[in-house]
Parts: sequence; C-alpha cells; structure tokens
Amino acid sequence: MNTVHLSYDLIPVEFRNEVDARRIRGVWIFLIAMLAILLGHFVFTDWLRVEVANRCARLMAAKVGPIIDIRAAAITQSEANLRTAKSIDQIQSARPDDSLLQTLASVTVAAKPFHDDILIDSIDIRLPLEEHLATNGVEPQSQTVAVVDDLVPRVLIRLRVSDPLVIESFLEALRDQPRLAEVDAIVDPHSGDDTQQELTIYAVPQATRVIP
Amino acid sequence: MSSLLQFLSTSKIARRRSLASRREVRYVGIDLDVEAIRIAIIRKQDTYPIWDSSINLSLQENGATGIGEAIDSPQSLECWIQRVLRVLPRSGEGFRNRVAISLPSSWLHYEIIGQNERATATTTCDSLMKDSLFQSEAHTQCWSAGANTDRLMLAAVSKQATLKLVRGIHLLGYEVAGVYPAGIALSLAAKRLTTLTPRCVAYLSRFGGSVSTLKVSSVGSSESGLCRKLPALNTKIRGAISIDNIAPWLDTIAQEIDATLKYSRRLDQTPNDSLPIMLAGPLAAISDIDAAIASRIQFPVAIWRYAGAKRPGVSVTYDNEFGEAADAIALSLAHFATLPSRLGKGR
Repeated sequence: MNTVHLSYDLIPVEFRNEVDARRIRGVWIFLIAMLAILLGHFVFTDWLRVEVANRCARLMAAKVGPIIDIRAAAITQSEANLRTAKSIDQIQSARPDDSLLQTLASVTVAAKPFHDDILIDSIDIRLPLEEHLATNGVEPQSQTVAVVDDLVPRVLIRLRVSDPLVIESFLEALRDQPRLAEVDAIVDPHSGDDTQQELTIYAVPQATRVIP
Repeated sequence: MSSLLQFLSTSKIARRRSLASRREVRYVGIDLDVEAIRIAIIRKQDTYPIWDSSINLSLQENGATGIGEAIDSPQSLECWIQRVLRVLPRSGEGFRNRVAISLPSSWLHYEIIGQNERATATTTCDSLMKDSLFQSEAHTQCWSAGANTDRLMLAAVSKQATLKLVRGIHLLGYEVAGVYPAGIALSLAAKRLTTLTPRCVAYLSRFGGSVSTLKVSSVGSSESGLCRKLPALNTKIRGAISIDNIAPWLDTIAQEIDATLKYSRRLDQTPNDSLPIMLAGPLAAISDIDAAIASRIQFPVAIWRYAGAKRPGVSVTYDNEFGEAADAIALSLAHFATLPSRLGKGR
C-alpha cells in the first residue's frame, strides 16, 4: 500500500502511551521477576549450603564431643597424675631429716664437759621447716612471722646451773656448735637459790635444709 | 562458503519469525454506528487477504426505537459506550485480532482550516467538545484538503469518549491498530476492495453519514481530500424505507455531495473527470437510490460492492445484491488493519 504522510488516526496519544507503558512495564516486570528468581535461587542455594555445612559441623561436633570430653578428662587426669607423681617423687626423694637430732646432739655435745654443773630440764626445738610449711612455701613475711609467733624457729633450753661461772663457758660451747646461732641466755632472776640458778637459753637452730 | 553461511542465517531468521508469529492474525474492522455494530474480519491466506466473516450486532435493546434519539446527555452517552462494550464479542483465543475502528459519524467534527490556523482550530474544537454532551477535550487530526492547496482538513473527536471506547476494546483482547474516520477508510480502501476508483464515496446511514473525496495524488503517494458529514435521515420515518418517502433527504444529500465535489475540484484545481460517485452504507441498499442521486447531480453513481472472489456466504444474508454495501466501512477498516501499523502512529 501507499505510504501516508499525514495521519488519519483518531486514537488519542494517551492510549498509545498507555499501551507502550504497559508493554514496557511488562518487560520490566519480567526482568525484575527473573532477577528476583535468580536472587531467590542464589539466596536459597547459599542458605542451603550454609545449612548443610552447619548440619555437617553439628554432626561432627556431636560425634567429636565425647572425644573432646575424654581428651579434656585425660588432660586433667594426666595433670593430676603429674602432680601426684611429683608429690610421690618428692616424698620418695625426701631423706629422713636429722636436723632435730643434730640440734639435740649439738646441745648434748656442748653440755658434755659441764655435766656435773648443769641440769637441763627441757629442750624445746622448733625447726625452720615448720615456718615454711605454715606460709605454704611463700616467702615468709615479717608480719606473718610476728603473728605466728609459735612458728619462729628456736631452741629453748631450760636448765639449772649450780656454778654460775660455767654459764659463760657453756654458752661459748653452744656458740661453737654450727647447728646453733644467736645463742643467748636469760637468767631468771626470781628463781633459784644460792646453790642453783635457773636460766633459759635461746638459740636459733640451723636446719640442714627445708623440708617441703 | 559465504553463501552457505548466508543461507543458514536466513533460514534461522525465517524459523524465528515463524515461531514469533505462530498465532494467526485476523484483521477486524469494527464500524460503530448509533444503532448497530458491523464487524468484518479479514484473514490472510498465503499473504492474500480473504474476507473471512461478517457480524452484525444490534445495539437496540428489546427492539426499542432508535437509540439515536436517546443519546442526548452524558449519561446516555456513557450508557451507549457500555452497551457497545457489552455487545462486542471478546477476542477469540488462538488469534491475534488486529482491529481498526470507526466512530459514529455524529461523533466527528470536520473543519477546513488554513495551514497556520491549527492551534486556533484545536482550541475552538476543545471548547466545542466541552460544550457538547461529550464534555471533554478534543483530539484533532489534520490532513491536506487538496492536492494543490495548503488548506488542511481537520477532524476532531472527543478525547475522553474515544479513550473510553478504545480502552474498553483493548481490554476485550483486541489489538487496536487505529481509529479512523469512516469516510477516510472508505475512500482509501475503495480501489482495493471494489476495483473501482471513485471520485468520492458517500456513506449513507439513518444516523448521518459522510462524504469524502480522498484520493491518492498523482504526484508522490500522499492522499489528500475532503471529508464532510451528511445529515441524518429523519428518524420519524417508520416502516419500509423507499425512494419516495425519503425524497427530501435525498435532495439534501445530493446537494451536499455536489457542493463537496465542486469545492474539492476547486481545491485540487483539476478538471471534471468521469469517475463515479460511490454509495455505501445501509441506505445504499435501497433499490434505485443510485439512479435517484445520479439524476439529481447529473453524475455517474456506483454502489459499493465487494470485488473479491470469496465472501462469507454463511454468516451474512443480504436482502439484495447491494446488501454488502452496509459492510463497506467494516470491510474497509479491516483492510486498513492489514496495513502496517506505521499508518496509525501519527506524524
């Protein structure tokens, strides 16, 4: 047919625009729907992957849990064993301590030349190891020592002397003993009579080592 | 090698095309008249158009008197549009129905304007339509009034009513190719459908017709011509219509046609030719109407008659041999629908 230069079409432009708009909207809706489907697909597959991985991990965790528990128990047990073994080792390796005897012996040795003049009523020995035990191995503090007065290592000798001149010699003899330090004597002024004099000797015993 | 490639590509394109247009296209012309809708359907068989079927739908409810009298208020207009949309068949499944529509001639307003009067004329048409029962803006369209003149023919319709109709028809499933003035469709399709080249085509209907002198100019391929409304037949006439009881109306019609022809000739600045006047429309089937008009204008008159080999014999029965003149507009519109859609895209 012949081409027409002028139009006879009486359709208002609005209708054409509407139809075009509808078509374009359709195309867009299609595109958006496709994109939405794609997005949904990706989201779903991603979720599925994560879910599967999670489930796998959970299953693995469920299976591995007891093993971990056993392992933790084993670790705890082995630590306890180690501790026990150490203790056993320490106990086994501990030699009989002769500090007490040594101190006693020192006093005996020092007193031997004067056995006629000196009558030892009592010897009270407190070894330094007790202090260490009391402070649980921590460096002994002055305060602790002050508070726990009983735990101060000491040797307390109560004796009666018939001849006061012997005292100084006895003290010298005691000071000569390597097992005793800071030997000092306090004469009790209220006790005793002319023939006998009571006195207390203080000293610090020197233990060979500290028992843990 | 290259030829092989070319063959492959063309065959691929051809296959794609056949896939895209799998649904058969039917070309439908819908002629809306005040009292009836006439539908003609053209089908293409091996690219050759065939008049497939015709449907005639009455808009009168319960055989009441002419509705033409009833359309006198915006409400009744709305009523009429709704009735049209109710009566129109839905677009059939399996087909793409490409439809061209013509509005009742009383809806159209024609005017001849100068080249630079378009804006003024549009404003005038706007106010005219607003004052009328349409109560809406006007939609106007212009074309050249004559081959050798710069004057324009302006056609105006109500924008709102047209939109309402077209939207409704679109919703019924039709693919609207265009809305054309009936006269234009008749004039431009006359050569193709009747093999006659008319000087002008007069469409005669009880509710007013039109006369159009459109023709393809010898220079170039553009059409130009006049289009005018013809007066309605007095609706008080009852019973069978014959030449005798419509004589006064025929006089008026003849005068209008004569005047239009003379004006057209003056605009075209062409000498008299012996091309016939063509009569179409429901009233063109009245016996001896051609002779009556020919004797009044002293000009050869022909009655619109389809020249195709095949016509739908089953669905339509005609009172006489010129009965199909009533389907002239619908068929012309269907023919218009077969044309590329470029036609409808405006300037």
